[in-house]
Amino acid sequence: MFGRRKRNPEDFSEELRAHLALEAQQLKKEGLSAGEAEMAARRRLGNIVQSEERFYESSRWIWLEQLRKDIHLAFRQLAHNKGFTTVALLTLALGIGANTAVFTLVHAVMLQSLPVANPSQLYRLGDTADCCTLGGHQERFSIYSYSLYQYLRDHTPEFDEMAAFGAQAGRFSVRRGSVQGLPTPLLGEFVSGNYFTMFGVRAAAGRTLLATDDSIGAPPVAVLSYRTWQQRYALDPNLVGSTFVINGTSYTIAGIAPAGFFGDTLRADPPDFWIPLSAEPIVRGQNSILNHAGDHWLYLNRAPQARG
Amino acid sequence: MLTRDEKNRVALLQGTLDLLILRTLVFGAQHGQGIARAIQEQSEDVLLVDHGALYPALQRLEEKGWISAKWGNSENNRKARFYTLTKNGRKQLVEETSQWRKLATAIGRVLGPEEG
Repeated sequence: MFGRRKRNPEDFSEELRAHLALEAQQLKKEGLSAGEAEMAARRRLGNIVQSEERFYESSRWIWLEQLRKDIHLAFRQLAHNKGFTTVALLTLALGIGANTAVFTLVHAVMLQSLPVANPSQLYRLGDTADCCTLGGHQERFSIYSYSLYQYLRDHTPEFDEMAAFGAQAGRFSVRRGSVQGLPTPLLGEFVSGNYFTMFGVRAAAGRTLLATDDSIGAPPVAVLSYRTWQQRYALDPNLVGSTFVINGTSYTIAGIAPAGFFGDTLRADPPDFWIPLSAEPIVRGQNSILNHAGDHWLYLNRAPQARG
Repeated sequence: MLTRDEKNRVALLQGTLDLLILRTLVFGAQHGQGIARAIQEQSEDVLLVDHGALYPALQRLEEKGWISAKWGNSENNRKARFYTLTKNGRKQLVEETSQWRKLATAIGRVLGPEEG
């Protein structure tokens, strides 16, 4: 099918002309008049055009030539029929665009795994989306009080790591310590000290929360999300270690969560920062429910100890 | 108008033209018109070579590499494209000749002795 054409059509036509001359000469020698000889030679060669066509069609490039002509014709027709072309192009563009958009969404929400160490070994205790503070008995436990969390954590040694976090992120008044001005409302989530360890997530800057941060009397620290660091503070490297005032209490920013980590739950408004559960009574004051055994407000996740 | 009676001629069987061309070229380089004439004369004017079919056939043989071509001058100093048998063409000729002979013999046997 592929190969260089060895001979051009002009050369072939030239050969046919040479044949006519030779044949006419021969026929003349055999006794025909010049005119008769030429006509006879011509008749016996048959239709020259047909021969040339046969030569041309035997060419290996004929299919390419035809393809080129077909494409040319297609484009001419499209240019001729502008309305149809526009509609067809728009349909294709919208179709491809819509497909791409839907795939991007499906890819991000359903196909891409969580940006955590072992997404396949991550389990949540319970499967309902109860919110935000429940009292009393649940038919299927999905949401837990702090004391129940402590009990489960301490009495189920087969769970390598069990972390708790608020079923809902709350809005807090936040002001960067050194900068005077209006406080910003940011979403914060209470998490147990082993929250980041359980996910196997490392800090993008500074450090994540540690179990020691989640104890009464520990210096108050918070971890900021990468997105907030980027969007509100322009990736300011001095942010780590600086002081933030959250609902009137000073917190030190221990570190920044990694880019792409938006917390434990997929939602439109992911938390801007995480603070330890032990800070809950300080932030909420007399509305604190940390030590109310009857108030269930935490989700539990468990995972094998993150390695490395 | 022609000096010879064309009615007594036999049209070539499909596929035999290639064989005859190769055979003709055994005697040396020749141009298309010369090949057609040679076949006609060798067959004592029985075989009619369709000149229109001859050149595509030559082209085909050239592409298969059995013959090669070069422009040159004929005996009466006209420009013509001369064909020569290649080594492969010679091999092909031997093969096709023996096949043809087998076929002819076999058909002869089937048809039986010639009737008066």
